[in-house]
Amino acid sequence: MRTSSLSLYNSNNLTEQELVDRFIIRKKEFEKIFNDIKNSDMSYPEQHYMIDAQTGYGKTTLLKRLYFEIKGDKQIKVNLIPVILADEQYNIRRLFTLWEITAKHLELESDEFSGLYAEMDKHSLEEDYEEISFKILEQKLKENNKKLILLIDDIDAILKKFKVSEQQKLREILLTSAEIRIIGATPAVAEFTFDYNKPFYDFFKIVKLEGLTSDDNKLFFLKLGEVLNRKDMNEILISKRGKIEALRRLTGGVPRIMTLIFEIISGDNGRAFKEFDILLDRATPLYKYTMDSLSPVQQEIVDVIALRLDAITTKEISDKIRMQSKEVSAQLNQLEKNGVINKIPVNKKNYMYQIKERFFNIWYLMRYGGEKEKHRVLWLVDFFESWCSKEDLINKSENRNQDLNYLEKSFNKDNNDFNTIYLLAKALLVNDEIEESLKKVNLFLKVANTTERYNGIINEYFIFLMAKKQYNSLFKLFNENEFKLKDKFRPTYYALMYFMKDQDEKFGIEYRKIGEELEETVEEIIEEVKKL
Amino acid sequence: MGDKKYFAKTLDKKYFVKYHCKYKERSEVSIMKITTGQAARGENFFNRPILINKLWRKIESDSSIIISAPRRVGKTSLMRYIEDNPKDKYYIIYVITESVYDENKYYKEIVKAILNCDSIKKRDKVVNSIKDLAKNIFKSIDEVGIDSIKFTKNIELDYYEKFIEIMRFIDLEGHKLIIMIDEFAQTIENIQQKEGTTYAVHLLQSNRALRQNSDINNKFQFIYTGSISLEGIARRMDSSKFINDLDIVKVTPLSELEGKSLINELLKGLKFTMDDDTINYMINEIKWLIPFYIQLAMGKIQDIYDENNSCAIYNDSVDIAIKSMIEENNKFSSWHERLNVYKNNDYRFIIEVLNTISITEVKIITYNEIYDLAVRYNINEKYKDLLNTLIDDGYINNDEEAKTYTFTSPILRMWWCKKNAN
Repeated sequence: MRTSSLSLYNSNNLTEQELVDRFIIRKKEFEKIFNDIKNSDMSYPEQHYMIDAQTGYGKTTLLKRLYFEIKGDKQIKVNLIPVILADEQYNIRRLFTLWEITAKHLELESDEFSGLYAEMDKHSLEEDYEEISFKILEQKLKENNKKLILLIDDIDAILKKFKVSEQQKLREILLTSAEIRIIGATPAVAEFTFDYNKPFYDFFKIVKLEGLTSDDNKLFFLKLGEVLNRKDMNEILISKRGKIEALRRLTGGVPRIMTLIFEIISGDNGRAFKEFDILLDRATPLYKYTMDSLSPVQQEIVDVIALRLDAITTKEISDKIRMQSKEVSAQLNQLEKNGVINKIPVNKKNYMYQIKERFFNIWYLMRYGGEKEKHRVLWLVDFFESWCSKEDLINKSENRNQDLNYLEKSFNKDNNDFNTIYLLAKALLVNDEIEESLKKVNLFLKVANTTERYNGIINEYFIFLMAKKQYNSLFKLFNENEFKLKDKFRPTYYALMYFMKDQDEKFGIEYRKIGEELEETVEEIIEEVKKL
Repeated sequence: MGDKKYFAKTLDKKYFVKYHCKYKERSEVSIMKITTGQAARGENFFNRPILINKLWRKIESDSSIIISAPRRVGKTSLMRYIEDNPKDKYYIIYVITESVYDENKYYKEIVKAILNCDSIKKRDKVVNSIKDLAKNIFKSIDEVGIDSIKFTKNIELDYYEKFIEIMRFIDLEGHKLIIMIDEFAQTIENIQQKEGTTYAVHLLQSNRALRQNSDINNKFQFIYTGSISLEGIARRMDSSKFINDLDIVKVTPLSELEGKSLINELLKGLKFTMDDDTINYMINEIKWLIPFYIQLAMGKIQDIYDENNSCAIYNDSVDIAIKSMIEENNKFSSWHERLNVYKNNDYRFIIEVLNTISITEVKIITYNEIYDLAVRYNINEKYKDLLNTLIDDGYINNDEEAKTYTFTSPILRMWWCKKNAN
């Protein structure tokens, strides 16, 4: 049976040695936290950490890696003892249970702590048990001359269950006890640390895990290749550069999704679409769960937001599902709280919404969207792939001395050939004959309208047009529905909005609708335009 | 994208920096660490002799004290420093009462802290005095011992009375007990929410009664502080009279010299360098030099270093660090949220004053403009109070001669402006 790379990278399936050997991403974050732990003598209460990351970004692996390092480091294990509480600690509903569970884990970690839980339990009927249980834990740590590093996965799920007074008590303990240091991980950091009225406001040092960059991903794939004994990984990374980049951008570089992509990409050949389709299938169990956990009204709202892909206002949603804005707003707040959607301010009072996890949105469009929606996604995959495999545009712009006469003659002979029209339009543009060039655009767009294969070079034309500051002409082109340019060239459209945002507020609002999956590419296009 | 690239300015500097970085790595100097969430203690505390002397002077004048300052200025760190470095003849107790929801529990926490006080426990005679006391006063105590005062189950004592008894009989050998209560105003608010205003006011009253009890008040002093303003909550409950005997120590921002010194202290433990020009630039950009802003900015610069390994930091990186501080909305949103305690036209007036400063070209508002706004919102009677609160809470400061007001910190102004843009 073939081994799945996903299972090979799921930290729950790995031995300590495997996890340490395969730990290739999140190294900077690991070093940052570990060095701080190593260099702190914990004579006073220390800075507590919160790792902020969505599901699949590698927070569990990072916590485990820290746990193993602390446990194995000869120098620090003399004074420190790590305990790791995995996610789904359903039994921790009260603050004292947190101390009880910690006590049980400590007993497993070291004989020095045996009997600790029983000692606590003796007092379980006392009124101040919560306080006593912590005092006993603290006392035992002091007796054994050990400081506790408590690593808690999905800490928000635990804190959420505590009463406010218990959260306040925990904060008091963490502020005053030098015996314990918490490294938590959560996908919902905002709920606990950014609200001024909540006890943990600004309390933790946040370490945010972002999606993998292109370089991170290369290292990650090489490591996966090594684990799976794929000797041709370097060649694959070169030959499928555009395809891998396209899929990385589309999925936001989420490590868990990237392992799926690795599996697909290291298989047979083909355009990115094919890989993409397999990827969507693989992601279905992950995302179906998200949809199933929503109420019917929420599902309806998510459907509207997801099908739009770009950000959408409350009014647009309420019009679409014929529900009062107030009711929609209440649901939107809930969805935002649960991390399903993002809120983007339009002005002081109004907001736009979009699906937070961008690949979830893409998955939804491909599974539940109509032909139009599916096409938008496929055009985007195509756009990314051709953008990421493109040559340098600057060199092309230097080719100013194209023989205009020759190109015009060719055009007069055959004005139905894409290449002929395009080359003439481009040469005219490069030579600053802008009006003449623009007259040819509709011609080549018409010829190319039934195929995607020219999209890459058409995009180059648009970039040159922006470099010549012809924003309004390009905007006019984008608005001619016949060619569906907005859908085919979404990143370029948003780059245009960037350049037009000072012209009118509406372009600024439009620019803010940009989805995270487009940001990197839009920034690159803007840079490219500025360079030209 | 381009923003993320930082390079040393010249080749020469690069070589200097490379050498210097290596030197720093070898010497492993690690004195003060960047601290942004936890109170800064021990070597992480930035010593402020002027402020500390001021606080001790007030303590020595026998006053009970409110340490007053906006959030994140360093009140808790200051209290912990006093606790960790007591003067002779003083025992210091630190109690945090954030999770306390009733008055008896409040006094229980104080009594427990006294009985378990580390500095007292070092003195045999006082410990024995406490043990005797405990046996006599707390007939209900199961066990008295180091760190193990345990009270009998199910017997609820009146801890206010027990506090008085302890104070009446304890022999502190000529020492004075300084009881520092952190998050006192939060406790008042907790009680107000759970039991109502009358009970909350009662805690203010009973604290005052203790401070004025001449039988015992020569043995202890209180120092109150917290992240919400005690003066504000007392005013809202119409109970300012119960705290008007307290002396106020304001924790002011750092001076320029102190700010530079803090940056230099932090740099000793970091692997990058900042020359004097860059430090001055950062000081000027932050302007309102509370330790938290400086620590936050240094944390952001550390992130830039981690990303790029460029060992010398210049103005461009400072700009990016400050921009990234502002973009992390959460660090500043409390400045807006705190104003929610003001209602109706008071609130509208305050917001408009701040909005006006943030968007005008000169970044100031004149006194005349403020008066005009006060008339507009029909608050001629109390606008001066509101203005003073904004100054006290660190939002704005005034140039008395020019009769103009501006944000205390350009960072706060930039954040406010960005918030409005949204």
